[in-house]
Amino acid sequence: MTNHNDLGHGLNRRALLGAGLAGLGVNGILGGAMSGLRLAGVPLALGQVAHAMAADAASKDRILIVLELSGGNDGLNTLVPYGDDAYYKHRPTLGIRPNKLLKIDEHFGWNSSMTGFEKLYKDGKLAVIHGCGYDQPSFSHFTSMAYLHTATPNGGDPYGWVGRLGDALEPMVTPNLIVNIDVAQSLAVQSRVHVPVVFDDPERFKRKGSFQELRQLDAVTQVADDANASRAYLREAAKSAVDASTLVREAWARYRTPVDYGIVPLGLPKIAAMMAAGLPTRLYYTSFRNNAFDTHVQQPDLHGRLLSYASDSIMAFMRDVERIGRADQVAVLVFSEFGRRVPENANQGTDHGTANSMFIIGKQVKGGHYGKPVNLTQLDAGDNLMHTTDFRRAYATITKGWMGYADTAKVLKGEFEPFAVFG
Amino acid sequence: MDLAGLVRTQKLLNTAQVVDYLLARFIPVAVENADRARLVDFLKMELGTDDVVQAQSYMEEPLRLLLHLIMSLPEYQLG
Repeated sequence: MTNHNDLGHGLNRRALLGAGLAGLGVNGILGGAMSGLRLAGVPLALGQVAHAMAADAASKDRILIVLELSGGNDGLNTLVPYGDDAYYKHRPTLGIRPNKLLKIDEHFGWNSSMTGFEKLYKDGKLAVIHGCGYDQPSFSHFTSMAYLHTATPNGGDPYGWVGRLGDALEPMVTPNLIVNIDVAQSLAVQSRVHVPVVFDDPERFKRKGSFQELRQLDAVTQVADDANASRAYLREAAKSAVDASTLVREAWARYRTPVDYGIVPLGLPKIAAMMAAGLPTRLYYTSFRNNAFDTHVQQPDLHGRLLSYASDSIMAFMRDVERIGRADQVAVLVFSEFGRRVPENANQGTDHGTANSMFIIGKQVKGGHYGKPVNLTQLDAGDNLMHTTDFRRAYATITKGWMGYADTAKVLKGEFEPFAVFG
Repeated sequence: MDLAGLVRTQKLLNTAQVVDYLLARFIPVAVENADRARLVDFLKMELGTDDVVQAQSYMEEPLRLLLHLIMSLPEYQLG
């Protein structure tokens, strides 16, 4: 098992520091190193330690935003493989003609409603991970989403992968580490250690009660060394909820932005507000909810609108975090529980499918294509795509490449090779 | 639920007795003295008196608020 402090160059930061480098005055040297002093005269080990500490410190500032497109987004009509004749053979009606696309190269073009994604891609801030899926795919929204949430396809886990990532990053209870903006908590953020902060409307994120009760409801008596562990836990959870709701409401009340998030902002401006207020949250989770992308019938206009809402909002969010000076700290992962079947159906729509693209967006992303694009001429018996990338490779990319946690197997329950999406 | 009737049936005389009775009935563990004191003060404030016999004709609504507060205590989930 990989040690999560092994930073990839054979050095274990903790071991080195523990071996007494601090006694050699390394703290002073490192302090200078990280403020820009040249390391030429410093022994190699110290230089490596300085590099390791700088990398470690940088990754501790990093924030992940996961956006779920619920309902099974049609990946083939999102990033359209217009250079592949098979696409048009399978979709004589729904196939989007090349002249209607926002082309990014000689093979792919974005759905014309995705001007935000087009700009992000052309700016080199958007990575496409092709063909994400898993063996023996489920066509149930609930089952497949649970697999994506827990990162345990054809299995199960009481904790979500984002929750496990939180546990790995901060093994001790850390208030407000995970924020889930939705009407109910997602399985993805279920954590063994942390209690995710879950809210939808920040202004209503408080205990319900009559006016005269409110002060009483927010009062949680703190008890030192409570012998009853269950009571101590419940009190801590209650205190945490009160504190979090106060922080969230204040953050939202203070937040003002000139950025237009479009018609459906999703939870993204709320995340920007929390970041602007300085919440210590490192893991945010939100969704385009209500199974919106389940486009069985009359897909073209509806799907275009859905994509424009998502694309506009994500683009606006990136502008907003740039405005508040936090763009370097943010990466957004966009996914859906499955793609759609390759051939169109008889109702101008598409049915539940399998593999799909995932997207990673951020200022520190090395934009481009990752993974092998799906093959539209070699479908399975149900006319579905055969996945080319285990979706957990995308999670591993985030876990290790972005959040800086090297022991991806601990989070993902298996070894999955990350893509070199981050510099 | 007739909370005012319950108070009468139990022959409770003051706000402290009401709070103690409801806590014993709905909370399986002892609550902190500070929480108990806050609840007593709340009921007294809502009734305008410590004497629940005097407040019999209008105490149903304050008693319901009190019960809501008791059921909102973290300890209530241990039941």
